[in-house]
Formats: sequence, structure tokens, C-alpha cells
Amino acid sequence: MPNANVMAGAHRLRHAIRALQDHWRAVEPTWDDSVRRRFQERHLDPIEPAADAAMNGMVKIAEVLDKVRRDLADRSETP
Amino acid sequence: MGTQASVHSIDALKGLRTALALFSEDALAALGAVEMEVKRAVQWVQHDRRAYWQEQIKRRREQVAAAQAEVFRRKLAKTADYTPAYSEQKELLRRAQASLQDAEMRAVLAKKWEPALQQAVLEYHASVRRIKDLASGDVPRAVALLERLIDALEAYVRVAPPSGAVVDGSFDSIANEVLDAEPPPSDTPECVTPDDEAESPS
Repeated sequence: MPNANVMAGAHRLRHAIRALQDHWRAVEPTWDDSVRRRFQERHLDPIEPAADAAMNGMVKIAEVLDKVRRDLADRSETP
Repeated sequence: MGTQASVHSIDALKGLRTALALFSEDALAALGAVEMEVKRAVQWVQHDRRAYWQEQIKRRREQVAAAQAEVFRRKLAKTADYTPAYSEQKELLRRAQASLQDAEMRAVLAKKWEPALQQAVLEYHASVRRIKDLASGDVPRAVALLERLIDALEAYVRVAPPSGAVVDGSFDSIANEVLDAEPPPSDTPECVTPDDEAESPS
């Protein structure tokens, strides 16, 4: 099972990006001009791909950390 | 910028400003929590596991030696008319040997994981670099920009004739001035998504 603390971080990031997208969708109908488009292109559009890359990275490192733990933990050790 | 500005709700902009600030806070908190976990794991592998398994090898070798001695002692006790049972001792020896083998294998893995984990961590850092830069730099700048837009909009609404919440092109020019005054966006390298997964040493 991938590292739970790392996965919690990935979920928190996913939740944060979804909350932001929800807010943006709510704003769109009330703000429709060239300024909004410039603002979106400059400040919002880059966020989603960056967040996706980060979440993928988190999932990968969570799997690696789980494998490390399984490989190097002593089953007889008390947690 | 000849298009007419159309902002129907200052409150919606305020909500967006708050949402952006919260996003920045949450994203950085999530990244910080993961970073702590990664550091803990690196520390565990580099400073704990190698020494731990080396120590276990020593201890388990002693256990194997003790189990071998016990089996030997039982064999020596054998006489023409007495054969002591020692299947239990043989089983204990087998287990001690398996346990030693396991420790030896894990000591090798600990050594191999050090560079492999380091590589995986480098790849992880590359994958989060862009969102970290955005959350710590670009997003706060966007919040500040919205702040200025909201201030400009409120100032405009105060002096403009009451005509609902729709704001005309005067705001458009103010807002574009605010956007133009922004520093150019930071370099936006491609999001790094490492293709090569860290190779598992096992």
C-alpha cells in the first residue's frame, strides 16, 4: 500500500485544486472580459498541469517509500 | 484593448481572491507534509537501516552458532542405547539460519536503496517544482493583482453613476493597466514528469 502520509498530501493537493476550479467556474459568468482572459492565461491555466505533475510525482514516491519500508523493515520489530 | 470590461460581481472576485490564497496555503501545506515524510524515509534508510541490519547480522550469527552448538551437544549425547530427540533443536537451527539469511539480504538491500531512493527523491522534487513555484510565487502575485483590481473596481463604482453592477470600459483600461504593470510571469518550464521510475534495487 503506497505511503499513507504521502497519499494524504496528494489528496490534499487534489482537493485544493478542485476547490480553486469550483471558485473559478463560479466567477466566470460574472467576469467576462479581456482582463479575465489575461488573468486566466497568466495565473490560472498553469496551475492544473503543474498540480497534475505533482500528484503523479507524489503517487510515485509513495509507492517507492512503501517498497523501501517493505524491503528494509524488520517484521519482528515492534512498530 | 478595445473590448468592454464586464464585471458583474465584486464579491465573486473577492471569493476568487480568497480561493487563490487558500489554494496557495493548502498546496504548500500538502507539499510540506510530503517533504517531511520523504525526509523521514531518507533519514531512516541512510542513518538507521544499514546499521540496524549489520547489527542484526551479528546477533543472528550468534543465534545460529548457539543453535548449532545445541544440535551438536545433542548428537554427542547419543549412545548405543540412548538417542536423544533433537528435531526441535534442528528446527530452531533452521529458523536461525533463515533469519540470518533474511538479515543479510536486507543489509544488501539497505545499501542498494540509498542511491535508488536518492534518485527517486530527485525525480519527486522535479515533479513538484513547478507547483511549488506557482503556489509560493505566482499565486500570491495573482492574489495581490486581484486585490488591486478589486480596489480599482470599488473606487470606480464609488464614483461611477449607479448602473447596476456592470462596469464599463473605464474599468477595462484600469484593469489592463494593472495587468500590464505586473512583472513578467516567471519562467514556465515544462512540468517535469520523470518518465523513469526509480529502479527498485530488489
